[in-house]
Amino acid sequence: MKFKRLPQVIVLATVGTLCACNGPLPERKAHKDEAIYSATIDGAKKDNLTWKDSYDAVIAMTKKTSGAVRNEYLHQAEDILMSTGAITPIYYYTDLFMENEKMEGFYSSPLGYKFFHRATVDGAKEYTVCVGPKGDSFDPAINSAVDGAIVISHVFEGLYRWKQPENGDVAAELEPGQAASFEKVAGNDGHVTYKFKLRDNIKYSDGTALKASDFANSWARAASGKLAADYGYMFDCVVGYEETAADENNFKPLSGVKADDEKGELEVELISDVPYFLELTAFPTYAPVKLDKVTGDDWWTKAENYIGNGPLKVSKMDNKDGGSIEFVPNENYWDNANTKVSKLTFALSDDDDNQLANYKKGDWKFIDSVPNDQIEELSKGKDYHVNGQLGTYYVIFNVNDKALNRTLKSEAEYATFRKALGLLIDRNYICEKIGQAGQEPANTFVGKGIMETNADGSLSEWTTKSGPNRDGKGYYKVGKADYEANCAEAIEMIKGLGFKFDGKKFTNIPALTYLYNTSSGHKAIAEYLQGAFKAYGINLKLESQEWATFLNTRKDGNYSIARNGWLADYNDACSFLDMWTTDSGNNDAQFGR
Amino acid sequence: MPLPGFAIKYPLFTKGAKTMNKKLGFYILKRVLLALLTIVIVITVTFFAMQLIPGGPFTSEKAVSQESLDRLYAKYGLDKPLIVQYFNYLFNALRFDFGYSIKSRGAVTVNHIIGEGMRYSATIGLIAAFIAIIVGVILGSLAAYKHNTIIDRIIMVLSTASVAVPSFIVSTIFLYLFCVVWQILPANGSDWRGFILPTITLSFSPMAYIIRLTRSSTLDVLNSDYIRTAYAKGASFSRVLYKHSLRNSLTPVITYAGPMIAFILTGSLVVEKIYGIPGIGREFVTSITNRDYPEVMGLTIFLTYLVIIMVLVSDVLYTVVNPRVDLD
Repeated sequence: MKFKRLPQVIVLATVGTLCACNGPLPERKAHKDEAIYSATIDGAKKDNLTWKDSYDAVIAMTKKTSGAVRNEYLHQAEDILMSTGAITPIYYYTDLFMENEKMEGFYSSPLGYKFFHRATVDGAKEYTVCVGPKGDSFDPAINSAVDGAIVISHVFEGLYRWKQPENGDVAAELEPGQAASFEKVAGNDGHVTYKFKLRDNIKYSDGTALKASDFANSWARAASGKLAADYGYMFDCVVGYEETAADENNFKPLSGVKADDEKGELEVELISDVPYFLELTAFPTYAPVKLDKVTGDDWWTKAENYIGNGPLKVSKMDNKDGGSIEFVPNENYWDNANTKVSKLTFALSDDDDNQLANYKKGDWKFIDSVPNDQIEELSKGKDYHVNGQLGTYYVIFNVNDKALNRTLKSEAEYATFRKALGLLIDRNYICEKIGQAGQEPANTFVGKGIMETNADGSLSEWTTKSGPNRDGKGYYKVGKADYEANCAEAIEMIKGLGFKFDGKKFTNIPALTYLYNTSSGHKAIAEYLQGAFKAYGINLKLESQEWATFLNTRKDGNYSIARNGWLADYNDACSFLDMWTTDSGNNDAQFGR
Repeated sequence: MPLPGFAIKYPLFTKGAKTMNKKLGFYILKRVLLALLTIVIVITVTFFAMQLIPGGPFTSEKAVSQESLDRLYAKYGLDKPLIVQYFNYLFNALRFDFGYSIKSRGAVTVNHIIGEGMRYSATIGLIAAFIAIIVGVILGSLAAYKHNTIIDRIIMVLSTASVAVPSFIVSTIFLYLFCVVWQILPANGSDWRGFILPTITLSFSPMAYIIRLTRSSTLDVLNSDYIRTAYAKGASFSRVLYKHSLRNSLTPVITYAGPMIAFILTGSLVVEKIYGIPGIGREFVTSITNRDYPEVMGLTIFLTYLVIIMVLVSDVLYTVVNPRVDLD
């Protein structure tokens, strides 16, 4: 446990409200001025709280509260996180793709899951697109990849689904899918129960009836310890998840899920009123698989076994790079009348140049990635699209790394140093000259596009309220005009820590090491950081590692500074904040360890 | 010892070659036993080398809980002591049972991946090897016969260029010209038209090498005494060419061609990626990135078998073409 001292703001947040579950808004320290950093540092010197007692406690509160109170806890968690300076946001990810100009009816979910079943190309109902390479698994419970989710989303449908937007191509709303409606009932201990009424006569693509118990059984399988799926935790808000996840031998039913096949009703009890539950029911992991087809690990590799309940069904499954997957309409789908394609082909390719050549030749009508060096040229065309994506590219510091402990004495001083380095980064340069895909400079970690529910029930974007003053200014000033002042501020901060400055450069800061995974894009950013720090006499050694090795090194905390990135699993700030609790497997910064 | 190129027409089938055949049989047996030893060594080294690289098959950006990891390790037998895993694997691998790909979560066997991938890689590879050898030998001989002429120079410049320009550049340029600009060939290699460009790209580098080998050995042969003798005895140019010179100048090409064919059959990461060929070449790289232990082992052993067989074949062929080689 290395991270001992924490901002005062947390004391107020936790001690003041530990017993006030759905009570009044937690108190928050008012900041003296607009300067983002000072308040938390002052606090850190006085306080003595561990990460567990502060951050973990605040996150625990978000699980027991709802609405605006919960939002405030989430914002406080972000305050604590950003006060460490260990998470330095660079930019918000974007989703870049090429779409034939004559394609109509295409749309995407906020998570970047593309839908083609309602799209035609110049009236043609039969065409080929490419959304990625071969899939590791198209089993809805096991898949954790975006391209896999796209395949699954065409073949399966959850209780709710993303509604095709009237304007633009990113869905913002959910609408009933396999469920006709739902009713939400509050229970004891903050529990809530969703009562779904399924549509009448819904069927699988083989014509057999789909029952409420198919949902319950599929969920038990996906959440079970027996399957041990990456995304099993997507059910952690459902009552009974822990017992199901602990059972290694059975698909133990989730005790909070009750199916009534006679009435076509499904009741789901949740441990708290999580605002994103309806969205989860549209997530691939929540899809109802046909369990008697799910035999062995390879059931999904054969088209005849890959039975779903969504708009399309697979007619050919040739899952290899260079191969393809073919879909035809599912005539047993309740909304088949709105399906426009007659045959959709997903070409599978893992090479950007190959994809672009096929797209330019006109054989493929849509590609989901393009070679980096072509972006500038392609961006001039009308078929070039950039959508927002719920994710952030950031630089992570290992809080246990004590490379500078000859000069820096406390965690608070380290935090100041890390934040100063964060200020020396020109995010606009990285977005415009390196990323080139319409990325937006990030002033906080929770990604752009994440929504929060206000006290009056309305929705607003998280980034419009992020920052210690809840004013959307975030934790770093990232305007183009701010960079110079940022650098000046950083110099003062580092000087204040006792490092020598000769008027232009620091002269006695030991070299730091930046770790990234081998890829030209990450390398370019690493080299930029090296140059930017070098200008102030801070030497950054670059080290690259192959992907799996890199993940391991970062997870084990055997690094000093590293690149990182995060994509949300669902549209809620906790998808960005839960990961930093002490025991989280994603706590690469090693907070509290 | 008979003069090369004269004495033994078909050494394997003539009476006088009986002792030779016996020797050859013993030689092959010896080589097969050595091959088995090689394979055991390859399995051992690959197995332990894979264990040494950090990360495992379930390493992912989003953390998986320790309980889940433990269960997955148990499911794929990765929780057993390393030495037990090793002997299990060794035993199964010698019977060509490479198990399931972990990355597919047990959905696909490694043998299936090899079989499916080889259908494409071997087709393209065989044609490419064929082109490389035929064109390489013809151009190489031509360059030697026209030694120090403009033809020789042109052929040598071309062969240097095709070694020097890496295949990813050749493929990108081909893809751009034939698929995007002229639009005469598909950019995805799913049928025979799509195989044209990758085949040509793949043949470039070995072809260039064969041109050089053939050229220099033909030059050697052309300057040797027995060629002069042959001419002196009144043999025609074509007889000297086919009967005396070509056969001898091909020996280094045969030595090279064995392993070359083994490698070219198992595909190329670059060529398969860029032309979208569902071959096996890319699996060699991705399986390591994925830490898909069974697949890495399966592919390595498969390639080892192939190389060993091809080297054996080329060694045997070598003795047929060049009786000077003593199998002992």
